[in-house]
Amino acid sequence: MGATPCGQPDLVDMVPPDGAADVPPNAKLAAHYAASADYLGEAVVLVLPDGEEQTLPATFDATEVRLSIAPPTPLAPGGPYVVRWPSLRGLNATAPGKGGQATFSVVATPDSTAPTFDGVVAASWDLDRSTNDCTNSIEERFSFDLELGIAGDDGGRDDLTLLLFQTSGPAANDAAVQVLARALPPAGESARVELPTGDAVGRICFAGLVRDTTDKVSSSADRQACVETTAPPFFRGCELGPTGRSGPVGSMLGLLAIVWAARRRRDRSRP
Amino acid sequence: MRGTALSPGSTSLALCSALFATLVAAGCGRTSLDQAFGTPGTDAASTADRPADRPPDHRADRPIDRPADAAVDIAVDRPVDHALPSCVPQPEICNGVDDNCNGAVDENLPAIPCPNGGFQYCVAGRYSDCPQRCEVCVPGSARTCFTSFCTYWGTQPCAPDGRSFGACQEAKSVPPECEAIAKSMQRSAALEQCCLDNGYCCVDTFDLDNDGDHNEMLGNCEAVSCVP
Repeated sequence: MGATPCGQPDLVDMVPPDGAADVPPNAKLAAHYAASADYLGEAVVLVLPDGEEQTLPATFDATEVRLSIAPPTPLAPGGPYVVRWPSLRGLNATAPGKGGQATFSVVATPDSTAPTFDGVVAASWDLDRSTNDCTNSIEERFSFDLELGIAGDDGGRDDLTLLLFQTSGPAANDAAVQVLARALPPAGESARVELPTGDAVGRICFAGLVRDTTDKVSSSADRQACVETTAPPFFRGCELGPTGRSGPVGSMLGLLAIVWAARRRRDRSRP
Repeated sequence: MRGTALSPGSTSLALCSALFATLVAAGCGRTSLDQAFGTPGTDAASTADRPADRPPDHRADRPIDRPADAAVDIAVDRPVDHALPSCVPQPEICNGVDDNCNGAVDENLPAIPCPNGGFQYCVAGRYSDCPQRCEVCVPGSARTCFTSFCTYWGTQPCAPDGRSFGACQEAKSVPPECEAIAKSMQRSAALEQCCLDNGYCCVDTFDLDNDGDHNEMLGNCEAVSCVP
């Protein structure tokens, strides 16, 4: 789930994205919002190439925080089409978040086959520990950068949604846990998953699949990428200065200097 | 004196070097060492694990829908890979195995709709859990907590990513309906009960439901809980 400032219910991404040129005529259109968003029947408007505006009934999936519409008839090839995604209110806030709109064009060939995806091919991790202004607390998060394999679909790569799962670790002992559902990042970009410390220490594995605009999914979730993480706090005993300048050798020399100075002071104080 | 002054330092150098070597061997100082020597998590373990590369009945990959004993028995019956019988095609099921002998594992299996939305997918040989809106709490929400000083009443905001609560922040005042209890009973089970009775979402600090969980939340938590 993407973090928004203090939980604003903003739109996060759209599938298809703005500018998509290869949307299949049988596509379902969708938008993801921040986790705090709630749907209260706001209108989703599809503007046809001739300028006609259609308000279509929308479906809200609260688990994925995803608003979607399914045009009643296949879209005619061409464009431009515009879909306007509404501003939604938050579960805990009356002020609406940000909406959005996507302009796209439609191709003649319907999406008929499931997408292909090489899955999550590698993972690396880091620990972020910073003060959060929203909670006035220090938040610790393990961040995992997941390298994604090649993805494709007869409906176009831009129209894919990435679903990531944690398959191993404290939070995924019994079954895989979905940790991300977002528009697929551009080719060559990794996906980032952040997990709290309690869910992210030990052998942590991820798998992924992609879903096209007709809800068909790739057969890629059998491939996992794993890392072994270590729980904080980490040992910093020999680190006296910025590691970038001095490094561990410099830090140890600094420690030696302190020990030497202390011994010298003690020797001097002896009668 | 100058000559002997170096002696303690030499001793410390030996000690610190030994300590450093020991810690490296034990895997300590990961972040510090990784900052110095490389990126965290790019160790040998950070490689893709493909079930196809493993023996098909590796116990760690045992599918959840197969009995454990059966998996063990199969492993015993098949001591080495070259002794495996030829693949007998069977309908593909979610088990991390190429049942239909087409070279693909768990392919084209249907997603299972969840009662509250979303789907369960076949992931790593098992169907995934039903997804939730967030992990711990709805971003932007807050629950009531109890401090051990001053007003004894506070709020605990949810982190923007919904993955944790922040620290309990003391409120300047207690809601009128619980003010008297806070003054007389201070931080107590009675104060938590007052919190619940008056429609707040409250940390179960005093385990009023007797389930042993002191960190859960009770009460009116619909706007805080991740379960839709």
